[in-house]
Amino acid sequence: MRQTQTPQSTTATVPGEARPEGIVIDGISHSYGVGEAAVHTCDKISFPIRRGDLTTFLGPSGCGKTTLLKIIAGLITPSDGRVLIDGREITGPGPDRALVFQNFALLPWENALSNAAFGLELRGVPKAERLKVAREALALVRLTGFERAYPHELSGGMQQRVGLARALATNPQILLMDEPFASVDELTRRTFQEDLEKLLLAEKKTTVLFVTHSIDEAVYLSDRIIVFTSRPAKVGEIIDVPFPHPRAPMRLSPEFLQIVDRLWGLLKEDKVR
Amino acid sequence: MKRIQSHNGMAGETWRPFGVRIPSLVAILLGGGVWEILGRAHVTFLVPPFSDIVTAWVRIAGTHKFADSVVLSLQAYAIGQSIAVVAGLLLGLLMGRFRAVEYFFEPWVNLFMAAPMSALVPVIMAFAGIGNTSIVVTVFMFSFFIIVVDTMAGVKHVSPALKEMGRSFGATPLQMMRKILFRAAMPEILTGIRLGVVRGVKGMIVGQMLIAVVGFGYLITTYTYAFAMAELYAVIFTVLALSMTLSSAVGLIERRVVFWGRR
Repeated sequence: MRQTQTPQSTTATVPGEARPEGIVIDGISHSYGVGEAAVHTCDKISFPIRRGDLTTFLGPSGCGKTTLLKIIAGLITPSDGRVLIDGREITGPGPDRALVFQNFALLPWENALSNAAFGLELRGVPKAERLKVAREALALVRLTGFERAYPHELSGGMQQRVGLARALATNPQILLMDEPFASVDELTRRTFQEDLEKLLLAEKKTTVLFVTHSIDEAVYLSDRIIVFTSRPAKVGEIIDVPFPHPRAPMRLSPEFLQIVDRLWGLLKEDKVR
Repeated sequence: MKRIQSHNGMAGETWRPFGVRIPSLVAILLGGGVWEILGRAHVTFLVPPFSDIVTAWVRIAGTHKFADSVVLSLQAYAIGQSIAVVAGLLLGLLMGRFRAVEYFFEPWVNLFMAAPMSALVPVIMAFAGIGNTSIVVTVFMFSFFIIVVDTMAGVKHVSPALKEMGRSFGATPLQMMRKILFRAAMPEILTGIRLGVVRGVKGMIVGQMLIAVVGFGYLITTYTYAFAMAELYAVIFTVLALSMTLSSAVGLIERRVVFWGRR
């Protein structure tokens, strides 16, 4: 069960310790452009993220939560503030993190296997080894038998599985997922959520940051939900979801729906304002 | 509803090559037929019957003069075209990747894209002399810039998501160029090369007619002044065939390399 914490992950919630574990978002602000035309996407965001948790960034579309994720990925340099991973400030992308993209970002000229191996290829892993790891990663996301298929031959859901396999193949400590299920249909989305849940349950040590605007998805997957208010993104509320996994049987339970309702209330309030 | 639409879409795609190929072949055959009739009717000596052109082609194709011209032309063309492709790719990739390189070269590239290239041929002659070198340079000048422009456009339009993906997995600048940008820009690059090889043939003929009267240019000039219309057309059709073969060869590569469909 993911909500039972190991001793280490409990200490991570205490910031400022000698060797703090986990991720600390420390006063992150970000804006595009300059002067009058500047658009503030994040405004002095601070919160800690526990190791091993699945933390969801939930908020309305375009609220800046993806920007924050990309800042953590090291793709965007924030205007102010810093991100600490186990006490070290990040300065760019690193092998400890892997990103799963909303639009999959697969190479259309490579088959599923080569795509899944691409992260390792960029890191100079020899061909035989990286293909072996990629094959295992494809098996993890249930794509065995599709190794030779090209992205244009796969459905959106399968393409995203390849994208997830590519990230998993690099064995990251932190998995960053940017609205990974936004471009797939509802049915595929559900199956994918359940698969991801199983996968992460088996791989407890991976820390996952998950961006979504789906309340149901957030409650279904998360250990903790960070609710963002819209542009510039600010942390509205932090909500822990204490249910045991797998959560499929309790999707319609009163406790589950109560959290859904509460989140809905928070987001609606922000919208009205 | 959706299913019906996608089914229609598939059918449309399956039939398209047929739909294009057959009319174009018919059009060419019809044109040849009209030509033959006009020729036989002796409307003007400028239009000999099509069959006369074929006979003339068979007659001159065996001569040393023709063979030498073809070899000389193809040599100059191959050298000029190869340099244009390699250099065009390199400059295009750099211009697409680095803003500074783009700013520095773009005015020049635009200038040469807009310039009537034939007017520059005498300048080329002044610099490179009246030998075969001038022909090589002319082929290069005609073909180079379109390859640069298309390659640059291709690199600039690579999806930001792919670039971000590369960066997030730690791609070095060289890896980014080789494994992502170059490959993703392939559709535009090959379009540029396809247009470039045709322009190169144009450059070769213009060069051979205006500078060194050798190769195909020599044949065309000679037959024109002799009013040997059948032979002249035979040479023109040979050049046309060369140009179209090269263009469809690149088109073939295009379809094999860019199998995933254009963006």
